[in-house]
Amino acid sequence: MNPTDLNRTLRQPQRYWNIDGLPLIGMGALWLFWGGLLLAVSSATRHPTGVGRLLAQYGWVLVAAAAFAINPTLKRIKARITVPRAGYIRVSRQNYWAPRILGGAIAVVVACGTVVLLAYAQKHGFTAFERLLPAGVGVLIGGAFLFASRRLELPSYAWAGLVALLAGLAVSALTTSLDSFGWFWLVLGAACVVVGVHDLRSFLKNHPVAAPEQLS
Amino acid sequence: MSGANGPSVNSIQGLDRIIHEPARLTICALLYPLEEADFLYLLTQSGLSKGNLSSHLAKLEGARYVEIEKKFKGKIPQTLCRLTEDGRRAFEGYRKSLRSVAARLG
Repeated sequence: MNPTDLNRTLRQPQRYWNIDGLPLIGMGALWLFWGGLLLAVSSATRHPTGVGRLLAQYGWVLVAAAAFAINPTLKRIKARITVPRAGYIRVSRQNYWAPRILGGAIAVVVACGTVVLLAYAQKHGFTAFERLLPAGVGVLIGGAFLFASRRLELPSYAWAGLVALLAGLAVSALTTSLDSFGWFWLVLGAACVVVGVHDLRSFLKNHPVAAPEQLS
Repeated sequence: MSGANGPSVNSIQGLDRIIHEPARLTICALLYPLEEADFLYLLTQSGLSKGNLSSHLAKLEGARYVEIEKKFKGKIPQTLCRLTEDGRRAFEGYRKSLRSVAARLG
């Protein structure tokens, strides 16, 4: 075994976490929710209603709550679906928190930077920024998916990355309205759910539940 | 081999023979990023047969590189495996030696 093979084996827990398609389905569901909320808020801004105002003010709390709830929910589903088929692991604390803290910090910096730039652009009437925003986000998310696909050897992530890229570019090219950003998340979320369901079906087909005598 | 190749040979001879065996190296590499894993995970990820995996785990346990705990989850038996501190140190040392050998051999 050479050092490259060894590094590949050391990445197996990350692959194990992603191979059943459940994280992709969870992420897709979250993005569908986010896209739907953006569209609902946008519609409520044009035709104000009580519910619309509530969504505009507190919708982000729902999204944040869903984002926090997704990991424990995934773990519970994995305990029923993945563990009996592919085994149980507990990641060491250092390996569990380090990538999450780094990823969270990058996500917060990107989100805050985008909001600040967007506010600045709207204040000064730079419509080009609004137009380029979906393409920029598409490139970022698409790049992250392609990187993950290569690193974890999961071809389905490359498809999700391709959809992110194309959806971002298409939304930027076809519309100038910021409302269309909601459609970007809806398309991306739907693509992730479809790809995730495909992965889950393959996983269930290729990994039958282990017989009790295989467990020891 | 001698002369310029001498240090490489010495480095190879210095590799931990318990870990150097490919199946045991795979088991250690699978366990290293984890706090613990069950037998089924090692079985599916290593591609080893059940008997082969058991015998290599027993060797690693004998060298005190791996801790094995057998318990029941409900009515289902579960075998949990962990790399010990000695096992972690040995694996880190092995990786370091392997990298230096690979670098010297180009």
